[in-house]
Amino acid sequence: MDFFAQQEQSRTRSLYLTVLFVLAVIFVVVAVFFAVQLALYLSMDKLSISRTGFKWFDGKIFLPVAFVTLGVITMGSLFKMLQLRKGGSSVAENLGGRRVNRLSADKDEKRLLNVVEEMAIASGVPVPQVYLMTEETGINAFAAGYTPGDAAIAITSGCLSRLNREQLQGVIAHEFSHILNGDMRLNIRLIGFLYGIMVIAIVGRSLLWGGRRSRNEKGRGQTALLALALVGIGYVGQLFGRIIQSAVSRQREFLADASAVQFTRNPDGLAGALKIIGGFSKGSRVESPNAHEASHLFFCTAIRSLFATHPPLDERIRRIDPGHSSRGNESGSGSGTVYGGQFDPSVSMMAADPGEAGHYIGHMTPRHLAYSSQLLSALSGKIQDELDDLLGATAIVCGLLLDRDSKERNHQVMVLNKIAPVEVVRQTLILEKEIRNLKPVFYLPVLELAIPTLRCMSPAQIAGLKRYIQALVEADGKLSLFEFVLEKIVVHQLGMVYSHSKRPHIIKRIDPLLPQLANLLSMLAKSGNKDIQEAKKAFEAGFESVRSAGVTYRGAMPENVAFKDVDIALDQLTLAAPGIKRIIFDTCCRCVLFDNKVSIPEAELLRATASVMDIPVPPFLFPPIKS
Amino acid sequence: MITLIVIGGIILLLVVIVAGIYNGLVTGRNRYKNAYSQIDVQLKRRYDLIPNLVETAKGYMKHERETLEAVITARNSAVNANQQASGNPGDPAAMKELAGAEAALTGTLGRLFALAENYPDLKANENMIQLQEELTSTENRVAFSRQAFNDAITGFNTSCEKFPANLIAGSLGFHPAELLESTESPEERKPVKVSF
Repeated sequence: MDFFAQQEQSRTRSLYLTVLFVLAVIFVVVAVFFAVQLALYLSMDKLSISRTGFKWFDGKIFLPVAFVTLGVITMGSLFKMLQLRKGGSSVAENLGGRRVNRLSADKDEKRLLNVVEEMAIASGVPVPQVYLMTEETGINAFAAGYTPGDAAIAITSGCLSRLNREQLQGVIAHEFSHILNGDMRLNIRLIGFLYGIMVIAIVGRSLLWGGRRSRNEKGRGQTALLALALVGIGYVGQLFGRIIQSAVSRQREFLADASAVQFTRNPDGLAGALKIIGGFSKGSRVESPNAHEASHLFFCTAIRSLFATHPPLDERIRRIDPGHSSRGNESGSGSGTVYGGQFDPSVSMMAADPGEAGHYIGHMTPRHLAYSSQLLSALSGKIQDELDDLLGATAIVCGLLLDRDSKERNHQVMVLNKIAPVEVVRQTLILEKEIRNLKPVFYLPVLELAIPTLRCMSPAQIAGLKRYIQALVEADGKLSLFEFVLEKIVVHQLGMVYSHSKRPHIIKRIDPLLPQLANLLSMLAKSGNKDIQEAKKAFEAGFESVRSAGVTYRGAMPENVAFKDVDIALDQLTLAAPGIKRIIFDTCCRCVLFDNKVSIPEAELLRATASVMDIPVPPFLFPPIKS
Repeated sequence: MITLIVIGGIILLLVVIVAGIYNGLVTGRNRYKNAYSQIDVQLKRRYDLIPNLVETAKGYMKHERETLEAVITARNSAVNANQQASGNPGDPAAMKELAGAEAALTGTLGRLFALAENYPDLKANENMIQLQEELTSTENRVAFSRQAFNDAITGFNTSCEKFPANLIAGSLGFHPAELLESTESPEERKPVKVSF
């Protein structure tokens, strides 16, 4: 199943989840109603009951009760979801996570950052923010976020200190496959639902608390009774929630395990991690009080509960490593063979066969992992350190935009000096030489590594950075493809940080998007082929070969396409539904790979397209990356 | 009967609102705490550089023992102040103390650099030049991270003061946090003289 199919399926699963939730809510409403009725019944004196009888179903009471209960659940869910929309980092922080910073990182933390960054680059997912749950000694991890663009990965300190690199890689690969399989949004929704139901219990508890201070003797008994009933219902509701949680979550865990093995081609890493959890007294327990509602996020069972959110360890291990005997939990690591791990890192391109390109989306291969690991280790330590500092990351983005031509560059520096604070200008000048020494292959990976740091800036600073970028781009009077790509990626990736409110209208048909697609394709074709005739052929090839998907574009290649048009085109194309995005991206890939050669400008524009459309595409494997 | 339900409903509504406010404030507090860690990293880097600087200067500035000692003392008290602050960033007392200690440190360092002007050999020393460069760059980083931190604090304080959060923030244990004031004088913040 490919990335787009997963995304579509994730929607169907959401529907299934919603149905289950509605059932649970109906149950809760009915239960609350009877609790209220019972409280009323007990409060009335026996005499009047025997005289008039007691109506167990009274519409006059049911309606307001149902109304209030539904209101509470909805509001509770909405509140939680709004909070969670702020992205994975807010989930990680609520669970006691501390952001891992390369500058203050010890050896283990650096290893963690390397593993995460390697995988992000290998899979084409924006580099997530990395959190360490310092108080947790159990072995566990989770990924959270609303979209891949605001994902955060958090691991416990037990996980960091007890696993070796292979095993850590297995765990992180498992988390990445949650990101790639579209599980995160589902998980966030689940947390929201659970919270909504739990609010009933919270209300009950606070009523109990408040009721003790009530002066009215009789009223006190009533309230206490109602409160107790609410607490009980809240917990029963939660029980339902747990059942839903486990129903939705367990299959996803098997899938994530399978994908993790596929990504790393190393079943020993993941199996080893699971075995260590099995052999460790603390196992995968998480102590944070907020862990309950998020327990389905974790790598392994975080909370003991009747309804497991995760399949049993033994079964997971057996699926990965069929030779495993159930009692033989070990605490060391097996040094097994890496099956299928024979690959040649010098192999040149991502895909020689255009048809393969789409196949890679949402996956990574050991080849891509090896490539991104090479890429990162070829990057100088100085740049890596700078990328983790707010000022350093800002300066690197500015530095990437400085022109090679000294006259243009001087003008740019002067413009920057006018609008940016002193420290930004100084740092940019300090780093200029270092950035100049980077090979073009590094430009986009470096930019992507800077993004998670830039996301830690304040809204004012992010707005500032956007201004500097715009000024630097405009200073030389001409817009280059790289400048366009950089601005587009930064604005898109950072635009999501503080604004999550807008929910765009999704376009489900490709026809209205064809003119936009033609503009984008024209730019792609021309950036890869100097000769206009060749470009036209590439353009046609793009449309031609996806005809089976119903794409027939009759017009010729638009000749004069400005960056402004591509800008608009990209913004429009982002709105397409997953299935349409697949066709669009396929068309682009075919156009780029038409001549079986990929130039850096082409790759950069394709990367920006993927980034803006939130499609995780592994990088093209450009052979010479030694700097 | 109906009134009881309405009152119940209102209570429920209040609880939900309070929970929402509480969560929002927790997120805001976590945000500025994490923002402080960016400053913390750079301050520590700065404190690590200073003993090297003094060690290098010692060889040349034999007659300036007092100044050198003052730098070390100021550095040590800044280290303490930072320890206090990183345990509880935003705490008014800790922030004020840190800002004061940092100002004192910047002052003594300024004096040291001014005196160093009288020692051409020291000024030409490779090590000294490099250390001075690194110190400046670290201070720049501190300035930039401090802005992020202060913005996060301001955001948190605003959400504390907004209605209806202002009615309950205090009783939930959230108090307005203190900004970390700049230790630089306005002259130091002048734009860079760009020379080509």
